[in-house]
Amino acid sequence: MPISLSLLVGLVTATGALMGSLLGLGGGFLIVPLLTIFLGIPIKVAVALSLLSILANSLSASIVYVDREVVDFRLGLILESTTMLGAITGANINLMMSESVIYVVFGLVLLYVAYRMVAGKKYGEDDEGTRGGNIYLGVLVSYVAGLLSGLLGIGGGILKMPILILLLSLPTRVAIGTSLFMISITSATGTFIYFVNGVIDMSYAPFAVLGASIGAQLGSRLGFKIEARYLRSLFSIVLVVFSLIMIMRGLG
Amino acid sequence: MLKKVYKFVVKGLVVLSLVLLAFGGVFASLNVEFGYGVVYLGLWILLLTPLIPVIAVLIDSYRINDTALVLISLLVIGIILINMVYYGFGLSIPLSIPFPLPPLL
Repeated sequence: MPISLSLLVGLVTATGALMGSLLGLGGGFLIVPLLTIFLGIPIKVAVALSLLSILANSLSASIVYVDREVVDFRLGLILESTTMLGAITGANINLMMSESVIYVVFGLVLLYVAYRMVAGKKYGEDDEGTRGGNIYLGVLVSYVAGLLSGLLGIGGGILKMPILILLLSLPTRVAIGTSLFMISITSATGTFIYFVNGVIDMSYAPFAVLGASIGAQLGSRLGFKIEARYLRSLFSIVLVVFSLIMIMRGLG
Repeated sequence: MLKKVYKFVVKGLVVLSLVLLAFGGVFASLNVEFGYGVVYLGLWILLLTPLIPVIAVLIDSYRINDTALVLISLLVIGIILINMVYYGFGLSIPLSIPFPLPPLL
């Protein structure tokens, strides 16, 4: 495998992780389209590499929140029991599904993410929450979050955050920390399925992980200097374009 | 205890895996034979690192004053983790969940 392509994979994951970090998204929504559209990497391999990148980033990020004692391990583990099952299901479905269907599903989910970026509820950092809510519904929806994570190579935060904040009324900071803790386990589970099925390309894997780690670190530093509000509007347009390209690829 | 586990063990393992991936990736790109082996090792460490805090919570679980829901969740996660480790190392498993996974070795 040419080293230049491996370096490009690292550059792509770095870009995806950097933008994801600036926009408050997991990098998966950007990494998978960038790998498939610009580098021609098969979508199943791109999904696996994306999950691997998210694993490394979420582990590093969750350490910060654990240190600040804003991770609800108890709640995270309750929800993670079904999220892990969802991730296993999603990854196995991906392995059995045709690439064209995965393209279409990913494109549709990207459209939803683009909509949420501009029109969705914004979570205030100082929201204290009241704790409570329907844990059983949270467990059920967590399965869906895990399913999407394993299927599409995303962190699942797009569903986990609403579960934790809107459904279970956690304070925003605790929700972020708990979500990161959960994402590290979910992404490890999904990555494992792809790993033992030989989907992860060992030539790309190190560069994908290192690129994403560097990108996320840069993003967290730049995040204080850049007004994310304008980036969100711009990137929602980019995501719409990506989603249309992926849907059209899937439909042939 | 969990804070210390994260701060030292998880952080250390993440750094170790990144270092192994970096060196392994460079050697593998240069077609040095053991490069891929080092990459595999780095990946395995990264994959298994999230288990550490889960195991720490399992050990610590007697302090969780809670309902059967927590215990059932821990049981489910524990079964999945055992399956992952056993399947990953190609061993026959004591607790069966139907995974369509080939043995690694």
